[in-house]
Amino acid sequence: MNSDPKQRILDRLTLKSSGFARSSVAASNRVEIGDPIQFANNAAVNECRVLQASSLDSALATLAELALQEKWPTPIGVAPSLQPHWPQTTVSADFGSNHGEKYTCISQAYVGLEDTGSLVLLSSPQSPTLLNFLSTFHVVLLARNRILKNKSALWPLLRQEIPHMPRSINIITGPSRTADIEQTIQLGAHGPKYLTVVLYDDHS
Amino acid sequence: MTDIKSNQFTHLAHRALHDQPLQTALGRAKSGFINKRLKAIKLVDDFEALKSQAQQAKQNALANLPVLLTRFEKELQAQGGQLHWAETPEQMNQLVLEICQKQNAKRVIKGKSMISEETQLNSFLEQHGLELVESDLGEYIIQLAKEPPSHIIAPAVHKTRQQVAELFEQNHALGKRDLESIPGLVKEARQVLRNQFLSADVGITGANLLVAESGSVVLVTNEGNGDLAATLPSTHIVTTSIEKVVENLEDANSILEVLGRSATGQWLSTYTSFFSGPKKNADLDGPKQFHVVVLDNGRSQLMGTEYEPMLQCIKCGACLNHCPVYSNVGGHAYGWVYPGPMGSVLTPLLQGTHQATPLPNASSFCGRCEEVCPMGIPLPNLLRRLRQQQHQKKLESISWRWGLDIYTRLCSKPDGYRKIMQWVTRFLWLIKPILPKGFLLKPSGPDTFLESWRKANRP
Repeated sequence: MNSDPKQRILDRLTLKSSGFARSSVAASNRVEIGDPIQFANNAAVNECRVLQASSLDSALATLAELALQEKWPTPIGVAPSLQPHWPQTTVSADFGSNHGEKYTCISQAYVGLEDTGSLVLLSSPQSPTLLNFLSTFHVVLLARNRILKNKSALWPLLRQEIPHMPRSINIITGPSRTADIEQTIQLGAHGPKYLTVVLYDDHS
Repeated sequence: MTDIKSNQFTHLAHRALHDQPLQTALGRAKSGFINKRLKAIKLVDDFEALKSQAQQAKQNALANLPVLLTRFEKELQAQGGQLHWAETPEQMNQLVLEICQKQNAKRVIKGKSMISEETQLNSFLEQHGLELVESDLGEYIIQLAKEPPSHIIAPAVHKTRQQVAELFEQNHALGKRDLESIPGLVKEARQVLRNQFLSADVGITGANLLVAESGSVVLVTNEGNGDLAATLPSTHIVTTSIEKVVENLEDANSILEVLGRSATGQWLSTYTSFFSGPKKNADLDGPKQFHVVVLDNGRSQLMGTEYEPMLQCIKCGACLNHCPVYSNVGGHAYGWVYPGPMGSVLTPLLQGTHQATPLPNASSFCGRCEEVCPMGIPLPNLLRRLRQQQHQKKLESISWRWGLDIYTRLCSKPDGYRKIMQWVTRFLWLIKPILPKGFLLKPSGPDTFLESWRKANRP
């Protein structure tokens, strides 16, 4: 008898599994575009604050102003992809070993999903994952022409645009929350307590 | 093997019914889950269509399980990750320990994993000198209380806020502070656990799905603890089971569409993450090592049997939330890892019917569990089959079997049955003064149902 657990499990499964192929759900190549207004409404349902801006530069200028006015926590950690537009602060490579709690983090979404008001962020050297999770204040920039109808539009787009899976794809639907004590929803469990989304027109 | 107390169900349920804090906690939780789910499915045009897509995705996966697991392994390796296979809980625990030891790991931060509850991974790793902290708030609370989870998605649903405050008071040396409010408790847990995240060598999480096409692990949380555990430590270990694999990303979508709505009434949980291997070359963060351990523990034996539909379960907890038995006795009465209707089926299947004889009987067959199950698992029917099976194996007590035997004989002779029931009823009304209050209910009309039926249909 084979003593390799893998082989034993596979043997048992092969013996029993019917192996029928369903009428294949052909992976659609169509990328259905979503509506920015409906997206903003749904993001607000998820308890996001939604801001509007005319361009990426004006979005970042608005944020810099708000950060001062509303006394956002500093330093402000900005995703490398946005740093050319935000020269004041840069994120150091050892970001993860910092508490992060003290930061305000600004990242850039790959796309948004209209139907659930979600943000999709891909990990890359230009977009480190921890920016999305460590701080209490998180801001995500999203171009209006990068809003998809729903999750089903995400995979065809990703297959077209990105040759390899990123280490992590984060679909974020509102700020961090927990209902583990008496079913009472409380924001800011481990991730951000405040999530701001800024929609802008991409002129590039 | 995990301690199993399912055969003490009657005793545990009785105790639970008289446990005042537990009844308070269950009372507070009850309608919350049900109303949230109802609201969420009302927002979609056709929830039945979403359910049917999810079921097709899962049925296709189960029918092709060996092929998909092999494909998943290949793709995971191509991403730089490793797959480990465990037939038994002991094997899984050993595999996880070896990975930790190879990294000279001392501290482990954990996200929620029901599979690790099944193998009792925590106590095993602790016995071998590792320091381990649960990071899901509910799991953390019950870790402090040294209790098993009582709900598959809300592990500490049986605790009141006062009990949580007491646990924090005893376990966190933070001096005098306000622990009256829920926000205060959540904030304190965040602070205490943040330090654990930053100092951990290994992060262990569960998985909601495995995607064969891309070698990805899908993890769903609301707190964000899973993502921190998967990103901060230099090693990420995923503990999961063989039936979690689906063919492609579209199938993963189909299941995610029903998971959040059925579980917490969210159109999508806050964090849905797809992890594919360790940190890529130039990434600024992410683990250096990425391991997935898949557990069988009897699941492959269910394939091709009448119990195979149970493998479609996506652990959303809807059947628990809607069960009149669960919502009165809570999860601990079921005596093992999985409670409620899904637990009453899964426990005897994974642990043996002799280990959990009362569980298939802990149901009124009201059918709500099947009605709300997004995966269409015929739970009452599976419970009925388990009852049959244990009856054939003569596992119930002698008095139960005799009682059933007498009842069967009575039922097969309707006239005799009616006569006897009339005498019994008359007798009971005679001794009413010595019976407990409320034992006898007045009929709603002057006659019994059968009597009025006969009168109405008399030619």
